[in-house]
Amino acid sequence: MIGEYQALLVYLVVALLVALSMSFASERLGPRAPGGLKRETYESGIVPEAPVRYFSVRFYRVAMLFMIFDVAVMALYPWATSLRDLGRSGFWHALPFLAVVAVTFGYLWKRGGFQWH
Amino acid sequence: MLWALLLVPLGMSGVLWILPKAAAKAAATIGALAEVAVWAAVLVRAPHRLALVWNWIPEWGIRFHLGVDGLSLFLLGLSAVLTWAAVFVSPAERGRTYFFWLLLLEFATMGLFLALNLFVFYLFWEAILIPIFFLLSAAPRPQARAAALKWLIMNLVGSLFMLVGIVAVAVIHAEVTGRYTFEIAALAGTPWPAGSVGWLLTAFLIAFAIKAPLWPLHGWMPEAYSEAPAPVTALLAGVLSKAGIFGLLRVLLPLFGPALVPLRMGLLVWAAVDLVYGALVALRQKDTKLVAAYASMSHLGMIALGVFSLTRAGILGATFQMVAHGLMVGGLFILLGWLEEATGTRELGRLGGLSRHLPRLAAYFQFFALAVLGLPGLPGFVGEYLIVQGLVAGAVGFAVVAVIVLVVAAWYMLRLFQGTMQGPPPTAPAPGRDLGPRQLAFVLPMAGLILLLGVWPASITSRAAPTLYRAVGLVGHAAVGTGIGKGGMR
Amino acid sequence: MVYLLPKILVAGGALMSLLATLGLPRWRNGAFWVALVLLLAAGVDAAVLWQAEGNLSLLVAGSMIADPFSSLVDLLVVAAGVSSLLLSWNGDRYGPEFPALVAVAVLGMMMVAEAGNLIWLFLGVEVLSLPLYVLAASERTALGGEAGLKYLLLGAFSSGILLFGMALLYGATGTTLFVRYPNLPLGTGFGLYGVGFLLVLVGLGFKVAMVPFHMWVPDVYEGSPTPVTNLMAFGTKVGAAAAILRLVAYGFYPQAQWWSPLIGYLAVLTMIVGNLLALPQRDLKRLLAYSGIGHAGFLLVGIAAHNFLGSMAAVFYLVPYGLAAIGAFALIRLVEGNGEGVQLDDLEGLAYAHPWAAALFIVVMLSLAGIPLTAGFIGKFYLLQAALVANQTGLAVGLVVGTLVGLAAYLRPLQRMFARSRSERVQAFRWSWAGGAVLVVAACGTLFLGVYPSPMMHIVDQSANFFWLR
Repeated sequence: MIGEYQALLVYLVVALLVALSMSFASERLGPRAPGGLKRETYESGIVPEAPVRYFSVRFYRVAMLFMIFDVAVMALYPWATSLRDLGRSGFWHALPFLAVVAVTFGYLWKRGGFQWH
Repeated sequence: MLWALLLVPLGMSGVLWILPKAAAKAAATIGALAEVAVWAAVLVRAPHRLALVWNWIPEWGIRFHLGVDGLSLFLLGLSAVLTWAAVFVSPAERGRTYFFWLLLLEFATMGLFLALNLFVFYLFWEAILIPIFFLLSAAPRPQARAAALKWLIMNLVGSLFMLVGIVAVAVIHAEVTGRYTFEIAALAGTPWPAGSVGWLLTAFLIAFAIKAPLWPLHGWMPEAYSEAPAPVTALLAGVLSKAGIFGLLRVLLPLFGPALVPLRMGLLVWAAVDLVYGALVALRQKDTKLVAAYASMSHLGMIALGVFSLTRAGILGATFQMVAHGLMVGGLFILLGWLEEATGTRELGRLGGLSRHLPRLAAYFQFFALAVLGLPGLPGFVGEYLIVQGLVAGAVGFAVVAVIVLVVAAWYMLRLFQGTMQGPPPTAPAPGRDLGPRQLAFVLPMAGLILLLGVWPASITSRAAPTLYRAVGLVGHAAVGTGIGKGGMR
Repeated sequence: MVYLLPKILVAGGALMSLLATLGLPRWRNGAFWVALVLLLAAGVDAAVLWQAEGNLSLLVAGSMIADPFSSLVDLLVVAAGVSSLLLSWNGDRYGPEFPALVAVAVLGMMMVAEAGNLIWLFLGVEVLSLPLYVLAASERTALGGEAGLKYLLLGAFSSGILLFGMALLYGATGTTLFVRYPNLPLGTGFGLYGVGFLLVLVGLGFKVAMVPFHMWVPDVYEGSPTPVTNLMAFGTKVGAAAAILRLVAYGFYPQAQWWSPLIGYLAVLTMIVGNLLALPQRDLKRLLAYSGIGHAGFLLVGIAAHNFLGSMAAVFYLVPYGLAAIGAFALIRLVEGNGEGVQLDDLEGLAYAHPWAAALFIVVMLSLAGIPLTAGFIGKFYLLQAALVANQTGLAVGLVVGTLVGLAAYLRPLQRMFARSRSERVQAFRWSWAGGAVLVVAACGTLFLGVYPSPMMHIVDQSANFFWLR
């Protein structure tokens, strides 16, 4: 059983060695110059104008909501393309799913999930 | 009929919560009296075999099997009478919860003495722990809580290992005979595999020894006895300590009789050590209640000697002594409680010369003390005589030890009596009131009962003997037990 | 389709309850009632299904198993959900979505129990966990936040382990349908699937609070609002234990010779550690958390015993444990009122101020401790028989020692109730119909099961049989 996975084991060991040696080498060999500009926030080479602030949690909320409904709608694509073959029963079977999505969407809307503030 | 024995205390403990708080004591007294009446009815009908069987958990072969026989009949009476006494002498101010637990305790002890099925036996065996735990927890001093936990934990160590033993007994019995059952009668005489009999026996023996308590498993006793209110101590020493010995007779002897024979010497030594240890410690105590506590422990050693002698006379004596000792020591603890109430202290050093102030208390105190030390004519003597007789037949050395300890017993009981009632006047505050009519209403019937047992011991022995002999017959060497001739006891 | 009806009802309950939160402001408890009614309907339906003839079928090629066992677990988790909802009565502070989230968590527990497929099992675990992460932090207190975060991080960690184990199992066997595993030629030794099995066991062990994967339990239980703790303590444990039972006792029974001792040792460890750590606790919820750990060990005894009696005993034990847990949490909810958490000192004087509440609490705590005439004793007796019939004396002794240690822990709160002084909490104690109903039902059920267990044993007897799947 283990024999089949021998190659995988070798691969794992090699990958680990490479990764470790690279980080070790850069740690040891690289020049060090702490302080100065290095302590500034990196904004693509431009000198930062104001002290940095973390992203507002609202970004994450929007991103999450987008993800959820994106995935939900994605599930509808294969259904939509093969609806003709699935026939009437296929149509009805997707409706509960749509209902779930719709209810959560409505809930989110009414609760103000789409408002920025 | 047997249902009533269980339902009266249980039902009354429920009724307490419906009635107004002030009526709690009256209701509890009525309940306890009714229980005594039910027991009297059982006593009258006892020549007929009374049993109650309900197929409780058929999946596990468990039947709710209750029955009365010569062994349990008088222990039931002891429990009924002493509970009545405890309820009767408790002040009403102790509150509803207190009386509730007392009645529940009666329910549990009654169930234990009635049980003929190991599962039911265990059920009530553990049920006993709970009321005492709460009675101790509610006692005023903070040390009482620690005593309650100690009582519970020590007893549970024993009983939980007994639980493993009980299930193992049933499982092994099923392997040997193919029948899964918890009936004591069915389990009796099973040929246990040699490898398991040792630890099965130990599991049961330890549980019973802790409850009794026998040395060195008595760790919970001093604290629990001294922290509990006097009536509860009376129940602890009078009834509950008998549960352990009862277990030996009800479960251990029938189940493992033949296996006990080779161990007899060791068991006798154990009981003798407890007998001597209790007596010697009692001699050294400075607290009146602890003197009585260790005295009670020593007496249990004596009773255990009778059981472990595995002779007819010894076991019969032990059975008789259980009832007699229960009544005597229960009364003694209640009297000590009154003494503490009257003087406000339990220290022997601060008491003395009370017989002048409290003549009636002194008189009854003397009566109970003499009864406990085994004065001829009182029941303690009868029981001890029978036990010694059983010992003489098979183990003379232990008979000698027992007789010597009887002398020590006289010493510590008289020390207790003289220390409190005679001699120089006390340094404690002036004593309160002597016994009133209400207290006399308790003392007189108790003393009468004890006298009756002293002069007419056959009332118990003649009924108890047949059952006991059946139990001992299983031991397989009844030849040793020739102590009692035909009709010798009548 | 008819077998899915309880799940559909619960899912519908979650959605309708969400919709109801948007309803008229005057009908504030709409979400609560909608979720409650639909959960109860699901419970009734599960009970009907349990009795239904021919309630043995595989759906989606065995991914979902409809059998009496699933129905029984459905009933139990619905009971957990309903009790949590009732305990949340008058709890505006838990947020309007509380009932919906509870319903979703219950749905997840149902999925876990009916799973015959590793994927469905994993989905169930996630569906039950995600709402609980939110619920744990639903009250915006510092402790609640800590609880939510801790639960989320460790939950995600355990999900990862679970998933990795499932991947290994798939690699070793070529199928995720674990109901097929007994029929595969895997041998009885320890192979790659053994590693996978261990990882899955670890993942589920997190959920069931098995030592040494129990570290999150006390903090999460303490910080979460009481109704949520109730759901975690009863519902999650039932679901996870059911999953372990089906996966281990059926899916891997040919390999019992090596996993049975392993689970046996873990069971003894769990019982003793859980109950031992319960001893010094001052917070009642933490005490119950450790008691929950200890009781997970008792459940594992039935699984480790590895016989039919053991499976039955484990399933049976869920009921006494559940009843006792919801009873204890109901009392916490009653005592805490508008505050949070109950210290042992807060119970002082309860026995005199509110004797009925104290009496009911005594019943459920004695059941946790396993005192005769309560359901807990019958459960422990069942397990003890299973262990001894399996000839595992060590397991029996471990069970007894665990019980013993636990007993001292469970009696300390009871002792406090009989103290003469009265705490502020006790003085402010007020009955609420919902909490009172849960407490009364839990205590009465505990007593009934303790005095007359035969009907429940019959039910368990009919349910705890997985071998029709072969």
